[in-house]
This record gives sequence, C-alpha cells and structure tokens, in this order.
Amino acid sequence: MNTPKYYFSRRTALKSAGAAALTTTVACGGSPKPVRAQNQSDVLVIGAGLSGLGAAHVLQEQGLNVQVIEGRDRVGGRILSLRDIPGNPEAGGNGIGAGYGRVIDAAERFGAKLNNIIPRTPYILSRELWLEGKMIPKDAWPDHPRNVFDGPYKEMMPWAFVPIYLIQNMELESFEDWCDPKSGPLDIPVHDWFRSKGVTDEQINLAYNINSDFGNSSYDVSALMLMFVYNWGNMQRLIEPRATYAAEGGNQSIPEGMAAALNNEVHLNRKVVGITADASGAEAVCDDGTVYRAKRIVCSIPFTVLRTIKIEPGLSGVQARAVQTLGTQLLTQTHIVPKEPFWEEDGMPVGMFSDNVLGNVMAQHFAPDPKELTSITCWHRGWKAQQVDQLPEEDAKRMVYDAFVKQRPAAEGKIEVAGFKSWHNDPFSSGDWAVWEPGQIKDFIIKMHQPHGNLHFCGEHTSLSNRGMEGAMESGERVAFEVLDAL
Amino acid sequence: MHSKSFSRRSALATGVAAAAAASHVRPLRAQNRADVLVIGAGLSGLNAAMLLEEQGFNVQVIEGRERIGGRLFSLHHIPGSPEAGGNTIGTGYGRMIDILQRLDIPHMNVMPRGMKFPYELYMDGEHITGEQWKSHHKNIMPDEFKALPPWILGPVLLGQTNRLDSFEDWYDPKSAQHDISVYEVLKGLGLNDAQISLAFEFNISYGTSAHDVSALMMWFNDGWINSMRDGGPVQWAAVGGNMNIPEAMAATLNNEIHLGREVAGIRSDNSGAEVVCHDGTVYRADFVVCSIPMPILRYVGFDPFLPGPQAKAIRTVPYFPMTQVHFTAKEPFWEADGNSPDMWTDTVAGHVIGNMHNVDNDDITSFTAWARGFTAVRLDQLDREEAQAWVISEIERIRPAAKGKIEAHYIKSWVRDPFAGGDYAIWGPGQVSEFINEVGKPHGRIHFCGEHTALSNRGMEGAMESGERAAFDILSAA
Repeated sequence: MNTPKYYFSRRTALKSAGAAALTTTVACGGSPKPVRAQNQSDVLVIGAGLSGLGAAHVLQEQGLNVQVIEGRDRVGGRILSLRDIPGNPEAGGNGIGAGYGRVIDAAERFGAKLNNIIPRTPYILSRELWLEGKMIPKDAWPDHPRNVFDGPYKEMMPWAFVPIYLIQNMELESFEDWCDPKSGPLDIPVHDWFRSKGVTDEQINLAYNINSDFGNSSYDVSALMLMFVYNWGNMQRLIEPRATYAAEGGNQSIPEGMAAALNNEVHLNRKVVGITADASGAEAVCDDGTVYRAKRIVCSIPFTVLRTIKIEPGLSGVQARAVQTLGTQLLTQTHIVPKEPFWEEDGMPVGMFSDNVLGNVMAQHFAPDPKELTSITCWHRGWKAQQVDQLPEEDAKRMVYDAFVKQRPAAEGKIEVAGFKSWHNDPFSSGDWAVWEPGQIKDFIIKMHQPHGNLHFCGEHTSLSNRGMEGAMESGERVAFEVLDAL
Repeated sequence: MHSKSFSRRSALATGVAAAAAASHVRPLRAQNRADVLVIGAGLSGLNAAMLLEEQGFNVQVIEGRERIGGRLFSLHHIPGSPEAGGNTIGTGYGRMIDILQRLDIPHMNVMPRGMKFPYELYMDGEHITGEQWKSHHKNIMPDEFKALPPWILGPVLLGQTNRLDSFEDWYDPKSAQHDISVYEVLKGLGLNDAQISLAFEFNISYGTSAHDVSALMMWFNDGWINSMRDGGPVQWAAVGGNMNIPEAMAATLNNEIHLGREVAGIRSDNSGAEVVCHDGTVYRADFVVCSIPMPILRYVGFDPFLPGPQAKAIRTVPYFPMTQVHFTAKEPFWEADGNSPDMWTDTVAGHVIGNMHNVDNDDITSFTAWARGFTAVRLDQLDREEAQAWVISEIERIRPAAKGKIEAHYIKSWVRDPFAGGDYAIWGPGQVSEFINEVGKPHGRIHFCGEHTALSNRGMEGAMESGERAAFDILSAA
C-alpha cells in the first residue's frame, strides 16, 4: 500500500512528547524483573481490543511485563470481521481513514495488509429513499410531498442534510476544541441546536431520526459531539480524499496481529467481575475465580459494562457519574447473502435508506472486483436497534427478513440472513461507541478517565482527539504514557 | 369501599354529564369502524373503553399481544399464579378497588404476607442477618441508619428530604426547581458516594442509578405512598392473579378485543383517525385512545408528525429495566439451613422473595428473583435460557442449601417485551418539569393514556386514572 502522506506516528510521539517520561520510567520500571508468580505482572490490561492491545505494546516495548486478559473468546473487541460471510464484512470498525496514523502504523507493523477501499465506496453508498414501503426515486424527491426541506436542501436526499448542514454551520474552529470549556454552550441536544438555526421539527425528524448516525435520536446526542465528529471526519477527507483503508481478510487481522506479537499470550474468556486498586497494587477477579495481580491495571472496558463491575475503593463524584450514565450507540446489524440477484429482477438498487426497521441497507462490495456484490448489511440504529434487540435472535432475523421481502418482493426466497450482530446485547460492550448526551461533555469528558489509584482507563470513549479505531489507539497510547509516568 | 377512593361514576355524573348527553347513538359502522378505537388492552385502555361505552360510544379495543392485561401478567402455569407485573393494590387505589367491587372480582388482603420472614443479606457470597448487618463492616451508613435494611434507606432518606407540601405538586411548574437528581439530594445530606450507592443503587427500585432519577418523581412517589398510610395495613390482590381484573373488565365490553394487532402507524385529520397495523389491518374511528408505552411509541409512525416536547419525551424518557426469574423449591431449603427464604443479594438474582399466594395458609408457593436496573440489563443481554440458568446458579452458589432444590419456570424481561420496552416510566432529572404536563396532551384526534401520563397516582391506579382522563377528554371533544 501507499503510505499516506500525513499521519501521526505512534513511534514519533514516543520519541518526542513521551521521551522525558520514558527515560525515567525505563530506568526504574523497565529493568529485568524477577520471575513472577502466576498471573502476576507489571501491568494487567483488561480488554484485547485496539486500545488495550495498543497500550500493551507500548508498555511491552518499554520492558514491562504485560498480561492482557479478554472477556470474549476472541480478540478484537468492537472490531469483528464476519469471516463466514462472503467478502468478510465488518460487524464493527469499518473504514480506516487516511488520518488514522496509529491504526495504519499498527497494521504495517503487525502484518495486516491494508487495501484502499475507495473504489468500492460508490457501490456501497448507492441507495434510494424508501418511506412507508415505497421507493422515492432521487429525481422525484425534490417535488415529493414528503420533502419538507427548503431552498437548496430540497434538492438533497435526507441523509445528506446533517453532514452538509453541520459542516456549513460548523461552530468549532478545530475539532479538538470540543473538550475546551469554552465550547460548553454547544453541549445541548443537537435537536435544540438545529431549532436555533431555524430547522423545523419535521425537517430534523426526516434528516436525523429516520436513521440516526450518532445517538439514538436528535434529542439525546450533544450538538458538541456532532461538531467534533463532522469536523474530525472532514479533516480525514482533507488529508487524503482518495484513500480509505481496510485490512485484507477483515480488519480483525489488525488486533489479531497485535495480539500475536505480545510476549505473553492473551488470556481469553476472562470476564472481570471485580477490580481492587489500592496503594500496594491492583487486582482483578474474574467470574471463573481467576485472580490477576499487577502494579497497575489498564482497563479498556466500555462504561456501559464497567458500571456492572465492582471497583474497590469505589469511584466517586464526576467519574462515578460518567461510568453510570455515559450514553452508547444502539446499533444492530443484519447481514444478508443473496442467493440470486433479485435487484436485477425488480430493477431497483440494492441500497435502501428506509424508514422501517430495515434502516440503512447497504450493498457490500468487498471482492477484489469492486463491482461484485458480496453481501448486504442492514444497519439498524437507534430505536430500530432496540426494536430488533427486544426479540430473541431468531425472531429478530425473521422480522428483518419479512420486512425486507415485503419491501422487495423479488427477494423472496432469494436471500438468506447469514449474520446478525447486536452490540447492545453483547455483554462485553452493551452498545457500540460512546454517545455523549447533552451536557455530558462539559460535565465529565476531562475528568472521567483520570487514574483511580492504580487503575487506569482507556477505550474509544476516553479519546479526546480522534474517534473510532483511531480514538481507541490514541487512548491506548495515552494510558500507556500515564502508566509509564506512574511506575 | 375505602373512604379515599374516587368514584369514577360520581365523576361522570358531575363533570361530563353534558358532554355525555350529546354523544347520541351512532349509526352502524363498516367493519373496523368505531367511534373510538382504543389501542392497548391494559388497565388504562380498558378503563377508557368501559367509560366511553357507558356513554354510548361504539368502542373497539385492539391489543398487540396475544393476551390482554398489559403490564398485569399473572403466571398461571406456576403454583400460586405469581405476578410478573402489577402486584398489590394499596388502600388509596380508589379506582382499582371500585373495579374489584363492581365486577365482583374475588380479592384478599395480602399485606400479612410481607411480614413473615426476617430480612437477610448476601454480599460477596457472605450471609448476613439483619442483626449482623447493624454492625457489619459493609454497613457504611451513618450510625442513625445502621439499623435499617438497605432497601428501606432510599425511601427513608427521600421521605426525610421531601420538599413537596402535597404530592400532587410534583407536576406544578413551580416545583421545577426540585427536578434534580436523587444523587444531588442525597449528597446534600452529607452522604458520600459509597453511601448513596448502598442506599439507592443496590437492587435499585427506580431507574438505574441515583444520577438518572428525578428527586421530584421520588418525592411524588413518597407522598403518594404515605397518603395511603391511614388506610391501615391492607394491600389487595385478586385471588388467582391480578390479571383477573383486566379480564373481567374486557368481558364487560360490547365488542370483542382484537388481539395480535401490532400498530404501525396512526393518522389523524379533521374527518377522523386511522390506525394501520403491521398485519395490514386498518381501523377507522372518530377518536383514538393510545395507551402504548413510550419506548414502543418510538416505532409508531404519526401522521401528522408528532412534534415538540411530546416527541422528545417519547424518544428520551427511560423506562425501568426489570427482569424476573420465577422458580419453585422442590424442598424447603430454608428449613434445611435455617435461614430466611428471602434474600437481598448483590448477584444477578437481585432481590429474591418467597411468594405466599395461597388463600388459606402462608406457605411459600413460588419464588421471584427480581433483577432491577443494570442487573436486569445484564440478564437481558443473554438468551432466556442462559439468563435463567445464570440466576439459578448464582442462588445456588450463595445458598448451598438450595443446590439442586430449585427449579426455574419462567423469565420475564419487561425491556425485551416488544409491547412494553421496560416496566414503567422513570423521569430523569429535568424531565418531570419538561414533559409531565405534555405527554398526556391530545394530538389531533389521538388521545394518550397509560401510567406514564398519570399525574396523581402511580402504577395500576395511575393507569386507571389516565384512562379516565382520556375518556373525559374525548367526551369533551366529541
């Protein structure tokens, strides 16, 4: 692959900013250690997703004995490539932007081959609007009675409104300003922000709440989070508009490569139920009775799960409130494999932006030839995810199948539901990415990931300058520096 | 009948007589055509339907589930028919007591059931008696509260801090200043985070943490419960299960309830209203009474579009996560180890209570493990079988005498019920003042009811109150 022009190397960062801290810590903490008792390490990392694995590598490189434990029976966390489905579609982290310096670096170092997936993008993004079971072709939309938009927005499809409007009315100069207290006035429901600009309830509903990209509705996500998201996303495009990457064989190859390169094998199926962190060290207890001891613990567990884990001494104040209340994205996917090209029969594009439970239906083109359709993914977001999550998995799949063939009768008998992933009903994530509810950014973004005694926090929810996979890597790096400073 | 009860009939006789007289007998309707279509055959919908029928309206009730009763759900396949939903009827539940009497539904005082066994705790696998708890190292409460069991702490502390003169003031806009989190109130008493967590969040009764529940809701609840004190130690339940109550109500209706009608969308214009179901059935009516709980209303389409605070409430008000595992004992394990059958645990089994549902004795008929808040969320993530097995294994772990002696029969998650989405509305800080006077407002010809729209009562009585209010609104509008 071509190395992208601009990216921030984790190694560069270590050389510059962290150098002073590292020299001292290596001297006292990195010297050869005596043989440890079983399950005793310098640092215990909880969670073998990108953030935990990234932290483990930085710490290991500095000579520390690091043990990673993972609750699931696989590594990768919220990167999950569905390898039994043609094209290996992603149930979790998807495209790697050109500015994802740490992720790209990790892929290179740990043997995951990245491909530029820009050629497949137009096929994946091709879709039509479906309201109340009927397709509204793009050329009919500007004059359609359901089109409640004004002016130039009347010519756009509803899904284009939010990104375009937010970029046009961007109130953050730099995306990193989102955690600056001066941005506090933007920490309101994005619904209220739109209304303050004259966007009507009906327009917001159509643009935001049919398939909410972030948050579960326009009411429960902070405008400030969205300003950050779109400002940061725009920056990714500015870095290199012609490159977005994905790992060959699925993005899960990246955490797998990282895990394989650790000195100590990752212990799977270790579900943490309690963490004790006091002056003498830290200890994690798993539900199978295993106990791990370390000088410091790095915890990448999402707050939605951390809130069910006993921490001693208990968290307090803002940090406790953050752990208890930080929001999460409801996201469930149904993966469909077509047995015959039903879209040739009914003559309509596979992709559908639909107001029913199907949500955002995307044709996946993950084969070497970008024209080839490999599978179809229905993204059920927000309350649509809740609607399918309520049902037993088999019933949920049936509900999606029924809705699909009701809308596309040509697909009857020609599609198969081959995969289903509810991030909310996953006991190790209880949701997908962190969603900042109105007021939460100014309330706790700075304080929530402060170390708690010998317990340190990472995970995408604790990142400040990046999102998604790169945010996870950033947080792993930050927490590793924190631990090195402390040891 | 209890003196406090409010007679539905006397209200009809006074307030709405004029409107009622105007609603003369209508011509015969086409199929699926009614004067009023009621969505939901729980207490609120049924009460609205009965009142409107009495006034001469042709009312059709439709229900999404294959049974009536909504969040009243008696498990008839388990000895004693334990309740998965609404449990007991307090002395101030005037409308409920009125229905029990009017429809001759056999009922009994179940208050003595709750007083038979001492309370005992199980924390970190350790069995702690009530006596031991008073001086136990895990009892970190200030001295004056050490003698109280954990589940009494929340009610006592919120009772002591109650700033409402009358519980009905909770929906008065002037009370907005008190619409703050329970955490803030308890912090104001000088309690630390660990104490607040023990007092309010351990097997939580409302919400998921002290941060996300409005003190205003809790003070309303406190005042409302206190108002029933002078009724004496009486709590009613229908003999054979509370689901007998909605069943008896349904039996009085002229039109049979249509079950299995899951609503997809509701239209309303000057000429009438139309309800479209997922199975393609269409109902037309002059008015619609919609008792669908808010988490489910999120998936229902409204035409015209539902705007403003009502739309926001529907999308944002959390509902209480509550999941129960019902089990029976093959042998009385509590006699084997000599401990109480009831257990207040820090496991996914939550609060385990022995049910005594026989009419003529106080034998334990079954057990219910109540998982609430995040504990319920954890169970809800698993398959039913897996979740049920986890609860049983946790009980057996902390209570060795129960090992092999207990058998699970049923798990009920209210969050994963596609017609409920949670047990009841939990008003978060700020949400009472923002929404409470909005959620019950009509939208065109659509009138809302359900416990989430009640102002002066909670639970079953709140549902009845809201059905009555919706019926009056329609009588006034018709």
